[in-house]
Amino acid sequence: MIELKNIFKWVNQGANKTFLLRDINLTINEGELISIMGPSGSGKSTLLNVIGMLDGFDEGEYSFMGNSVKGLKEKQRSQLYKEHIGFVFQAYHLIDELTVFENIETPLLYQDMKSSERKALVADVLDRFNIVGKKDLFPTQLSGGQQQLVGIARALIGKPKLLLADEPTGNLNSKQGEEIMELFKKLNKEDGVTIIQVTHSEKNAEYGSRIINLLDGRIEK
Amino acid sequence: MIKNYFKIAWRNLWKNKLFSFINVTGLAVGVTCCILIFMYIQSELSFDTDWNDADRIVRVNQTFSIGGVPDHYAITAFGVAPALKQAYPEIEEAVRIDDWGTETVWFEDKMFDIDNQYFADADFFNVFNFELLKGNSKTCLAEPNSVVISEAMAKKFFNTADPIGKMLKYSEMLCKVTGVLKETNKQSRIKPNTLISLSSYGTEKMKGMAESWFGVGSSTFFKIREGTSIDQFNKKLLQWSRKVLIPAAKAEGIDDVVTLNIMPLSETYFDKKYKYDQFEKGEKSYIYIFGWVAVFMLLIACFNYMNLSTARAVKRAKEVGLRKVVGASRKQLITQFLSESTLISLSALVFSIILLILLLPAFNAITQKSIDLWNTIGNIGFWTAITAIILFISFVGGSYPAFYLSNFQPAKVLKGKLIELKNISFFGKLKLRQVLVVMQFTLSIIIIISTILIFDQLNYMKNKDLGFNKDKVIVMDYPSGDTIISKLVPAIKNDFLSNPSIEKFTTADQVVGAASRRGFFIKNKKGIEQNVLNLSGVDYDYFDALGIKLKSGRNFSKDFPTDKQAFILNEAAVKLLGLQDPIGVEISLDPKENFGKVIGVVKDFNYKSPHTPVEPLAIAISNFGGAPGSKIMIKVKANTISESVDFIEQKWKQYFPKYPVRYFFLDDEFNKQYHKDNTMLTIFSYFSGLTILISCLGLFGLASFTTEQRTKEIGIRKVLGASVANVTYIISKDFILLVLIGIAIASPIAYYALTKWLQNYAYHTNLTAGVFIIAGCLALLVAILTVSSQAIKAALTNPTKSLRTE
Repeated sequence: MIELKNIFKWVNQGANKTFLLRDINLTINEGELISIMGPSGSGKSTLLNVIGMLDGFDEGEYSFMGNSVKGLKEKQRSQLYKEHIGFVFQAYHLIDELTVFENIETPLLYQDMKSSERKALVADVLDRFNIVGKKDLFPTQLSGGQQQLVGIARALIGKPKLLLADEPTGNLNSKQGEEIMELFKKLNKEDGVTIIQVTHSEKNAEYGSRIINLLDGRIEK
Repeated sequence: MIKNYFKIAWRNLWKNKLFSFINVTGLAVGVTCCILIFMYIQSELSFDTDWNDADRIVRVNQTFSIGGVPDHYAITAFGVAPALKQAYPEIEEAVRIDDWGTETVWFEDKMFDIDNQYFADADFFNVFNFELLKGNSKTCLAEPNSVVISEAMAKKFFNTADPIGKMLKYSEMLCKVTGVLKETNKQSRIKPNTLISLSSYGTEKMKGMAESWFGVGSSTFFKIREGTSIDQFNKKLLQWSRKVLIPAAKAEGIDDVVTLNIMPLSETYFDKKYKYDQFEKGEKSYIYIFGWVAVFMLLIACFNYMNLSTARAVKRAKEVGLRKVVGASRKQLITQFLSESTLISLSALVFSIILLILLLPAFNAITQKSIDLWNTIGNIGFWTAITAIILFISFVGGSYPAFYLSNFQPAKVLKGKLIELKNISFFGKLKLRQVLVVMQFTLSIIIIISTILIFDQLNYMKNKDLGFNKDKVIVMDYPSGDTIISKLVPAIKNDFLSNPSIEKFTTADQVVGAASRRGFFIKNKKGIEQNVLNLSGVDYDYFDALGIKLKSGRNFSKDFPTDKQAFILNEAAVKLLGLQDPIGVEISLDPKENFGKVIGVVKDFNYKSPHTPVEPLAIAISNFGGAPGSKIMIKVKANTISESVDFIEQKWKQYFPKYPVRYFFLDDEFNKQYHKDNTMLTIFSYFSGLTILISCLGLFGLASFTTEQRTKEIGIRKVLGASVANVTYIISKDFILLVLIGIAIASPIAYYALTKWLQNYAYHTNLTAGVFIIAGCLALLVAILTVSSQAIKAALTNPTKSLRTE
């Protein structure tokens, strides 16, 4: 599904290049649940952003579901992640001005879907995540765990094949974190969603089928 | 999708109530002012454009060149209209109008002073298609002593009764009402309260007037045939002048070159070249000034809007990044921001239309116009302008966040930090937002300086030494030619003067400020020369009562019986006539009659508006010793005004129980001349207040935004020991600097423009540094108050609070 070959990413600081990613080689197959670990600044989030096509890279080959990402235009790239990728963030990143229902609905708005269809899909997800009662509340009225649940619901509404989660439990207490991880596990097993998560927690990393350790932008073998 | 855009736009507006309020209010006020000014200008420019065939109605001007110096008149000799109509088929209709001014009209026991009374030719309605409520427009002015009255006047005199056939009494004639004009909302300079048939002058007088090509008296209007070129026709008029007028002048021994020309009626409203225009005039410079004010207002409102939207856009960066992540395309984001912007400008428009409905009556009252909103709203030009304004505002307001934010890399935006908007820089250190604030204040300060200067100029004119004393002078007038009163005047005078609080009592034909234009014949070595002077008939003690100073020669005196035919000239007249030694020069109104000697010269007194230089004036005893003048001027002692008025009222009732007591104060009357300027000043003051208000709204918004953004910095500074004053200074100084730059830019621009404007006035104040200093300090003070309120608020916040949010 994902193939990264000799990926480099750097920023110029004066005359020096500071490498964020060095020679990343990684293959991820459909149905995997992968945890990326590493200390702060090791490039975990950068790698996730590159995989999610939210950020570019400077050298190397990246093929996503058979498409070479490097040659894609911004529009095609966004088309690709719009269709296949869902994102979950540590800080949830819900739109404060929208209700739970509307937040979940937002991705569908950009997919030219009929209003009735959208409603049906959102209602489905709300039901599945047990948050029907919260649908008219605004994000600020929810607890962190509930907000993250909405964030995941929003990421899944477009039925993506890949879910990218950047420290999804980082802002949550351990009980809430556990619930989210259980949910990931279930999604991976029952729905076959490929999941890549960045995490600090050994315990959460254990949920994954594979752990990738990063240090200074390199994958530790 | 659109619904979603508007939903989030609405929630954003609602969540940031302060910003939204500032944004919408600022825009609405700006747009309202713009629309008001638009309507005002439109109304000023539409004078006399509504007549049938308005483009074919022209006014005839007559020019006398005396010694090569042309004197342009907006009025012509009486004979011009019939003679030219006969000579040229291009003239479809020719109509003369003579403005009689204000005269007293009686009907039974009712009596009113009616202004705008015109004598007019029988064909008047063929050129000016007034509608008649009653009467036949073809015949109503045909007979002598016929009068057509306005609807308002009909109501005043006859209430609901039928006015047709009723006899109105003037001091010297009786006129039969033959028609009633329907109230019209046509903007026209011709606003008759009465139209009296021109033939009422009487055949003899008419004949006499028609004889001379040089006694100008009537306004002449033609309706020219379709396809007639004004330039071509003017050439023909020049030929005709050479063939008829100039030889006629020669025959009378006058060397003047007399010519005629025509100009479109619609151009006469703003015309300044031709003198003695009998009808209401406009001031074109005001139109330009207002136009600029409108543009400034709109720009300031737009800058405000842009500033606030860009400031707020920073907070929206996260939302934009997120929308991109979930699949929004750039185009969709731009659409979202632009539709949000449109929503704001539309709500501003709705708000401003409500404001318009509320303000228009007041605006009409100030400008003395009768602008009808619904009439204007039906106008395509209006909607084009409004649409253009809204599109413009929406675009400039929405484009920056729309295009700029939508271009971000989502990963960067979402990294958790609030990203700093990279501002487009100008001139090195200044950023776009700062440039906008500077421009806003530049425009506001220009308007403030202008307002102060207009105020200054108006005061200057009002307080200028006019060469006569207009304070505490009560003016009473009675119908000229009313022999009952005029015979009693000497007795009244004695009676009044017996009251110690009444200092002086004099009479004149006209109130100071008016005079009639007359042709004079002057005897000199070469023979008899003709020239035009204003004539004022006065009493022996006129100069004394009004404090007018003699320059040479002597005052009129009862000791010299010949003084009844004598004249006193003002300095301007001496200059015009080129007299080295004016005393003893013989002049007359009629070469066939006795000439009178010039016995004295008075210093120029500004008996007309200080807008214009003092005109040449000859002064003689009223009616050459006959009946006294019909304007009575009574000078009273200081602090005795109310007693004097009581006394005068009581005495007047005693003498003339049938006449109502009517009086006014000379200075009040004189100040009426500044009516248009006063109006202008009032409007200007409002607009300048509003511009500064809008600018401050913007500044307030920006200041509160900045302090919000710098909460953390302020918190850290406070923890490190900064005082409240310190923090206030740090926040305020950037803004104050911008205002200072605004002052620096505005001053030279205002100086240049206002120096030009002052040249419109014959007498004007000087543009001093004080004006700039006052304007600058005012702007600065308001800005400091605005900004520091926010800065102090931020400085007083407990630092632990602001730091905890991090």
